[in-house]
Amino acid sequence: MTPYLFVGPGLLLLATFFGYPVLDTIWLSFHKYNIFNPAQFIGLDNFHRAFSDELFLRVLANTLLYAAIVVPALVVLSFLLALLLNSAVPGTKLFRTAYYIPVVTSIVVAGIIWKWLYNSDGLLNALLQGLGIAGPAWLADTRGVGQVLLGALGIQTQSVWLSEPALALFSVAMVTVWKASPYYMIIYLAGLQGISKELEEAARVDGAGRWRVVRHVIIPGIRPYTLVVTIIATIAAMRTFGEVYVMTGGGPFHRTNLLSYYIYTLGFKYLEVGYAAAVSLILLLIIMLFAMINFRLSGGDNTN
Amino acid sequence: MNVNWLSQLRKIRVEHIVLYAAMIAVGTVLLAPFAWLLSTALKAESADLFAYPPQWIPDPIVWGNFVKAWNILPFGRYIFNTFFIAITTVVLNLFFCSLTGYALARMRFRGRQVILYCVLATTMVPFQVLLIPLFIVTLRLGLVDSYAGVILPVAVNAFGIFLLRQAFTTVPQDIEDAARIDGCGDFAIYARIMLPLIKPAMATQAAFTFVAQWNDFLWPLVVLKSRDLYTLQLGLASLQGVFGVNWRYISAASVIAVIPTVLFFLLAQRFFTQGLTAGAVKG
Repeated sequence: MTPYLFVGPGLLLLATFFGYPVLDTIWLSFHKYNIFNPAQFIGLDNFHRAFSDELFLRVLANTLLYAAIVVPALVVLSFLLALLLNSAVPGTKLFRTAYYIPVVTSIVVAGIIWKWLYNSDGLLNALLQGLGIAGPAWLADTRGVGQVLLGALGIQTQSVWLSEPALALFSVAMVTVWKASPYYMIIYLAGLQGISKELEEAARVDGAGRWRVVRHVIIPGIRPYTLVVTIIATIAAMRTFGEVYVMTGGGPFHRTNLLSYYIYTLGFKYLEVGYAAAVSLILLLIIMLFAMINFRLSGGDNTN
Repeated sequence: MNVNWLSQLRKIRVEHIVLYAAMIAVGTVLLAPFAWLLSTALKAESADLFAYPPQWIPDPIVWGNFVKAWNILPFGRYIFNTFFIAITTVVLNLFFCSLTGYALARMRFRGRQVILYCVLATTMVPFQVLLIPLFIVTLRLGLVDSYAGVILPVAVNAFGIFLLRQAFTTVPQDIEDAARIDGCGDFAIYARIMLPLIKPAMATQAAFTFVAQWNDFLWPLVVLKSRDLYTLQLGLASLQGVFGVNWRYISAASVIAVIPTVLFFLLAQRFFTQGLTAGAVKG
């Protein structure tokens, strides 16, 4: 009996605040429900609705674009940060600690800081002014990043290919990258510790330059860690909420509205509980799909 | 110590100077946003916030924005709420996670493997997906707009159970056997023998839970309604309306909110990096 007394309390809490909500999400997604009136079974209507809801499709596209910016940026930057801090010179530990500070900063503070930096008369545009460039309205600009860059060169274009992602979405993504890259850096640092120094040394003796050691010894050696970083970063990107809430409220014109924020507004602003549950399930399916694809692509099955 | 330090100093070569320059440059870019926040918080009403070129060191330096921010918002109340929620969560979380993790690591019983898989599966589902049904459960339990409503859903988590279970499995069987021969019961072995042996893992879990709760935003936003119960983050997020666009006050308030987390992190930092690598990849 004793083992069950040990696991009982924890499992009871998990069942109440995790297991039940999971089942309830599924149940709710087949119902029309607004908390005040009894739920009404409507079959797959919520799912049909999602795929003809232009706002949902916009938000879904935003979320995928956002992940497409954030995940590669995080993988590359956190790896570079880890390479930089992987040396044995005295004082590296101090730098690791300092670099990690954005991670422990709350998203509310981070959002406030960046909203201020992105202000149209803010620090970022002041620095650009120093270079003779008129800065954009970062968080309010609906133009595509490509259009803005070409615009800076004096080329105006309406090309649809350059209209995504919106500069506003890109600006929000950069905050995520700034705040999260030192987190993944720590994972990469752990990985770098496991790469055999002998192998690196051997490559160097064979005349490999620094770049070739990184390319042919370190990057292949660190692949399992890249897989972990990719999966965690993808899931984190899919659930981004605070950045949007604090900095843009989903605007301008829903160009920074992401799935988690959309679910929040559906549930708590419009009380569309059933529909919000259906959208949540779609989000969950996408996350699981991405985790599986990442795992397959990286040959994750043989790293266990 | 001194000799050691000197010999280390001698090892510093040109290559290292380049490395230090790079590390300092990158660090400056990463931390510059904080410097700008602090600079804004210390600027006088008369100073032009949008002056060009940007003024990094305010002249004069004024502290009044902090006083003003502190007086306009009930910061004392917010800090108390946040502390209370964070500490209570840490205590409950350590208790429930260690109890569950202990049984999963060191006891044999029917369904153990199934429970372990279920616990691991929960890490696959992000909190955001469950936001609305979780709110409904909390509502039905009458916990909306209460401390308990914020705390109970995070009083146990899969990561914690797993982390502590891993730590418990490393304790040698001999220790447990010896305690049993000495007449210790199951609960005494867990509480008096085993818990002290996994202190590092407990500290890691405590540090993570504390910072996560201190910084948490979405769940408190949904579950807390009265301003009396607001956490620091909720108060801060509501600031932008209160102060209009007075960036001096907003910055001062943000500095007040971020200092405790950064201090706590600096004091407990080794537990953070330990936990991260423990949870990430094995081998």
